[in-house]
Amino acid sequence: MRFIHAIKPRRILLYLLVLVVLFWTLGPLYFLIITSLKEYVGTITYPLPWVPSPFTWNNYSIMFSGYSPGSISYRFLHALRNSIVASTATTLINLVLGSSAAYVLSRAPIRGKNAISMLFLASNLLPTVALIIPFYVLTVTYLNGLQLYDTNTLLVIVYTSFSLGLVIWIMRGYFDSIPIELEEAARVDGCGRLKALVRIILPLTAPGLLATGLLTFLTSWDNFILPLVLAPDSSGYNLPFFIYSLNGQYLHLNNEIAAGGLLSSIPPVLIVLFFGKYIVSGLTAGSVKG
Amino acid sequence: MSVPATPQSGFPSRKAPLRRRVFLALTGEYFWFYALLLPSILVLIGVILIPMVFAFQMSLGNTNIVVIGGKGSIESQWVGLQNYLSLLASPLFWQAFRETVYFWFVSIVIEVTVGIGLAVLMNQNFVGRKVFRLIVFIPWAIPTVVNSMLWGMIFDGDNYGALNDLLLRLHLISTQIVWLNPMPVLSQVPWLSNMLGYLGANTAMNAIIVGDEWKTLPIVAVLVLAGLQTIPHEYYEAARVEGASAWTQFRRVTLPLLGPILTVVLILRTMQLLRAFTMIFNLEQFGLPLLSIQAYQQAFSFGSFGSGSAISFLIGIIALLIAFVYIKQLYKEEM
Amino acid sequence: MLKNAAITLSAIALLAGSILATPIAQAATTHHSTPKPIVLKVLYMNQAGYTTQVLRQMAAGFHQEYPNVTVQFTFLPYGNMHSAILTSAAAPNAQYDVVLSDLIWTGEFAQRGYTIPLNSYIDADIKNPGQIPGAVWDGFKIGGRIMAMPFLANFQNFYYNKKLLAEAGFKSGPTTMAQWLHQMEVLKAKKIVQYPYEDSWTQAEGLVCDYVRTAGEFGNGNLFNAQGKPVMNQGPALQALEWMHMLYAKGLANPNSLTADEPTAANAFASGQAAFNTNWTFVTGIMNDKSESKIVGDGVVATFPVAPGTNPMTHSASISGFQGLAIPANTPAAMRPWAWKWIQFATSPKVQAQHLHSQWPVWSTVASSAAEKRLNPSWKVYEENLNAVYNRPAVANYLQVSSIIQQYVHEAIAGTLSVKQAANDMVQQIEALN
Repeated sequence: MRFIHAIKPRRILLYLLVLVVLFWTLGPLYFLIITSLKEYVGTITYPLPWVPSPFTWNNYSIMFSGYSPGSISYRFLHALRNSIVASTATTLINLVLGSSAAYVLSRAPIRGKNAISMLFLASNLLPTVALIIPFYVLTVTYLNGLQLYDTNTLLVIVYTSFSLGLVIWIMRGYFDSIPIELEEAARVDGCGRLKALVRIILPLTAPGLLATGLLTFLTSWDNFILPLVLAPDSSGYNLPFFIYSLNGQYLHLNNEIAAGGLLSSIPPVLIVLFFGKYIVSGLTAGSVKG
Repeated sequence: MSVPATPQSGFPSRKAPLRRRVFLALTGEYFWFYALLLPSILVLIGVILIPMVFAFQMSLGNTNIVVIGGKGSIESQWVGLQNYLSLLASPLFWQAFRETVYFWFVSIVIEVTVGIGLAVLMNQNFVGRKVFRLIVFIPWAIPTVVNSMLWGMIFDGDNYGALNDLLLRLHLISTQIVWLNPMPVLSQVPWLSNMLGYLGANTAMNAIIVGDEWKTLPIVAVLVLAGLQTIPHEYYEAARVEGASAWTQFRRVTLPLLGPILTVVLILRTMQLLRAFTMIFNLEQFGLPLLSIQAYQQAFSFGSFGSGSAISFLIGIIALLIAFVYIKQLYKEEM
Repeated sequence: MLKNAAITLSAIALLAGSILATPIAQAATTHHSTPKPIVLKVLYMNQAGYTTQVLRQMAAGFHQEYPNVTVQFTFLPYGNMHSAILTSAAAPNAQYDVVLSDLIWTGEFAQRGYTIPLNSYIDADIKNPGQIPGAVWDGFKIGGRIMAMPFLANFQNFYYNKKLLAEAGFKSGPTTMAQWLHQMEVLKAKKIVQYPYEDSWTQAEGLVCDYVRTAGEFGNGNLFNAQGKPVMNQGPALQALEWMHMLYAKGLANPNSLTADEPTAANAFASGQAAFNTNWTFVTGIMNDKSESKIVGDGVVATFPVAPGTNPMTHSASISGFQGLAIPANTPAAMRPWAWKWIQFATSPKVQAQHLHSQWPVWSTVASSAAEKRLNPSWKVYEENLNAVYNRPAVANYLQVSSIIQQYVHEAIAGTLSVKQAANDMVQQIEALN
């Protein structure tokens, strides 16, 4: 909107708005950072110190102080490992299952495939809390023989089911946008259907795969209610549950919570900073095909 | 949709005899289709539909934990629709229902208005625009639990709570405000306050919406921005030639073309419609009993899996209804 | 198209239903002769007092005594403990062999059979049960069955800041409710502190504790009468509600109390912003710890002020927050002896005496030991408050009752309902539960 350049007061207003947005965005982040660098006393002092005072690195260093079972660093590292494993596994499984299904739903002349697509999307819109109770009961009763309760495997299974719909939805959009002639040409050249899919089609949908993969990763990384109910114990808990459990009955160590919270935010923040535009294009791809 | 209207060569017509279709399904072309689709279908059945049906089954009973002879299990006595009837007769349920709708509605309104505004701002030309766009995006990446804890510290009702400290320093308030206590809003105007309270508004709810928006607005704004960037510049030029004001341009050109993006935003947010669990559970425990909180409390605190399931089944039905409305909108051309 | 979807959906739902109708046979679990080594799974809580650190030390001691047994802890926040025990009870075999049990769950666990009575173990192995105060046993006893072995004698103390009180012209803390009120009014009027008192009145279990204790200060902390009828709308329980609302309305209690939990209220006291705090024993440690407190040396532990003529025996009224160790009913039979061995070890006077700095011991012999007296100059006050505890109602549906109490007490304090109305509604709602 070039006309803005001509009018000065508008220009000032523009920069004012930019400043307001920056304050709104960075203010809470700044507060979180200084809290993580404070000693406990600094979090309950009035007036509140807006610089880290008394300053300490301790809240971070205790998160990496060895691996003796039960210690805070053990629980942090264990949760970190669980989060990485579960999110990565969910992402990979989702990409394989989801893009296969999306390809079929885009290409095959199967009756009712639009209905199936809708079912998948609808399954994704279902709130977690609507399924958590039956999940839990099924896991500990009928499926108890499988010993899934409180395991990362269980979390991967439920994470997968909750994000598969979105993956299929977005990937179908990508497949639809690839001309069918391209595939047919490849097959005339002697490629089988599967080979054509892997060699020709998948590379073309790489941005879509990246976008959906990252989205799945972020969703899994963020999950709280599923671990809260399905994996609250010694082995299965993830980073959000770890942060939650830092709140002891008689302790509110806001400084430790802030440090743990910032550490667990690093991977998703990096993803958003470096790959944000792919995620956005993935999400919008679903809308433009309509 | 790019599904070809005519069957591709090599595929049997839909009118082909069933036996031939089954034969083809198990061999050749069709084999791959089914092999690729089947795992996802199984996930859909196994992890979504079966639990849904099971939740419904549990909701029809007085379902409790029993331990007999050293073995724990869950037993259900058939009570028919009793759980649903007592829910529908309970004022607490309807209060929770209204609060849930309030949470969703206010969030959506903020996201559509402020979100579009923010996107338009990000679309302007100014120094540091690239960095600005990146910074604005960051809060969306912060995990929800961390975000909850962060806003818990900001809205801390002590005078060393971040917001209270700030307002006290600026002399905007003389004594601290207990933001996270569910108190009526606008209590100076009793009738308005009562009405808003009935609809689900209170200070705690509003504070939680603010904290939630900090994380959510960025993705909305960035998506809308992506939509803005797809609008060809010529449209604005043409509008200006016709003498349209900035506002008219926005209303006549920008908004209609943002339609599909806004649908996506609505869908993404509906995914969270009844999911407002994490933040409320972390900040209010059971003090702000939205539907999701009530379902959790019934099942995992009181051990009443029957009424817990009834609430979650209702949540599921509502979500699916809304989902179908959106999806119908999305596939409009085909309907 | 939607019709197609509906048909597909109902077909799949039917299929799913038929699958569900045939329960998957549960894998038979067989127990071989005691396998070695043994892993004993113990559910415990993140808390002050016996911290996770202390528990690990105890486990190491246990491992020394029984080298084939390793104790494996699950540490959860308090808010998640009950759910964890509940959900574990639903499984054929328990997730934990020993669980930490709050005394308020005693009624529920006994009636629903989630944990087993420990009478036979205690009769056989605890030689001198009389050395644990009767008030502590009572918290875990229902109909003669002892549902948990007392582990941790938590209760509330009255804390005041003597420096702030001296500034207001008071040489000592209050002993009656009227004195306490007067001191708060003077502290506020002289602007020594903006809010003299902060308590944990957020809508959670802590609110019920404060409510019961306040009713106790007015003479009787029992919210149910001998016939099991709720009596919040009369007598001391009603006076307690009026008192709590009055403190809030007059600005004597910090309005933040309405969202404060125990640590938040303790912070207000430890940061010197509140002159009074009624809180669990952990505050004694906090107020004298330089890294957490700005009032080191000024905090005093005292007995509770009470209405004149009440509680003549004790001159105080406190609230119990005892925790015991219990064995889930679905703990495999082979593990139960080991579970009990751990319970016996962790609750023994010997082990408790090793951790005096963490927690007030349940054994009166340890509590009155020379070591404890040296460590805790306020030991006498502790003993008096412990002897003056009231228990929260021991009803089987306690958590439902508690959630109703929380809701209405909160509304009564905040004034969104009148005290009378809230009390009546509370009684009515609780009666409707049964």
